[in-house]
Amino acid sequence: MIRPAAAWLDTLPSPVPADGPVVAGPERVRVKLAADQVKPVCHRRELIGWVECFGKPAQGSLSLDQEALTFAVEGWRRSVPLEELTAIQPSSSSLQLRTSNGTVASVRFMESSVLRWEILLQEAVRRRWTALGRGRVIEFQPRIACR
Amino acid sequence: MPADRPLIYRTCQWIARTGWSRLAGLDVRGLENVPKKGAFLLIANHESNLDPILIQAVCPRAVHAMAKSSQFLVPVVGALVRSILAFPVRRYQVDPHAVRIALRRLGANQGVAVYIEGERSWDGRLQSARPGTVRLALKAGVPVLPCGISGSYEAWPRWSSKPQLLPIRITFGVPINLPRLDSRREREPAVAEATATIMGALERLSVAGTVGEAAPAS
Repeated sequence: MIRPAAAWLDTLPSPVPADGPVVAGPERVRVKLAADQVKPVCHRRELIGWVECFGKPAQGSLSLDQEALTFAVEGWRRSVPLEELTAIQPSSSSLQLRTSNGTVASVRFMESSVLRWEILLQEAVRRRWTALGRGRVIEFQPRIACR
Repeated sequence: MPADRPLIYRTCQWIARTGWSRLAGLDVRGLENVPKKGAFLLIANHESNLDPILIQAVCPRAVHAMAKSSQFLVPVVGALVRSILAFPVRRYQVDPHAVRIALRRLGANQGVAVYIEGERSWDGRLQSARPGTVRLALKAGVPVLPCGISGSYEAWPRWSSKPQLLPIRITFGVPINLPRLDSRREREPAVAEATATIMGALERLSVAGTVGEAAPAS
């Protein structure tokens, strides 16, 4: 009998610990950044939208703790407080993260899955927002919104 | 000759429809539900990269699909998606320009396609709806054409680098008439009910009908 993927997925334990903090990494990643760099997309002289322009990919690591997401990439290190994330969006084999200053990071995981990190990050943000009294997060795209 | 579909659009339609039908099998149902004229918002589930290709290939009306923005920068692919009438949306932020283009196309009595889950399914199951799509449907007030696709996850799951030639079923449901609600104050309370209606239709059209079984057309 062929088992559907959903049935296999249900047999896996959740990456989120039932009790205790959501922490993960360091995980090997390849990161591309776009800071308010967009390019117009036209078709038959009509502006049909905008597309983000990402820079060259840089290899490094990504860690998650209860308060921040830390990138350590080729000599620089930057921590992004979880409350500064404004969107978490999987895109093919990458995870796109947007911060409140408009920077968009496209993160590709070299040895882990996008789904695992999406679940972990969503849960960490959910808990952080609740701890800060911002309410219950109801969506993560196109922006993190709470009720 | 359909004036709303450029030659390259019709060529891609023919290649995709004929190719997949002959090599793998394509079962299309409910074509009579596609509005013959006037604007419509096609809302489909999203199982694989094949969905937009095959849905546009079998839909008798031209469909302007909302597609992820990053595709438009890929050489060749970017030019192709533009010529098959897709327009970009940046999914990690509210993209008013994408909404404006969608409303403009609907205002010109054309068809617009949106994948309500916003992203391909990880495991073949229907995911939750993005409220933005439902808000667009309520703002536009045009018939919503639910479209369920099944078998495409098995043919090309998102964790696979290439597709397999497996049969796919596409079912167009009976259009759903939602009220046109211009103001946000009117729209917001209606979002939950409209979401339930649309997702209920997609559930029936996609999940219920696995390929090889009878699927409901409405």
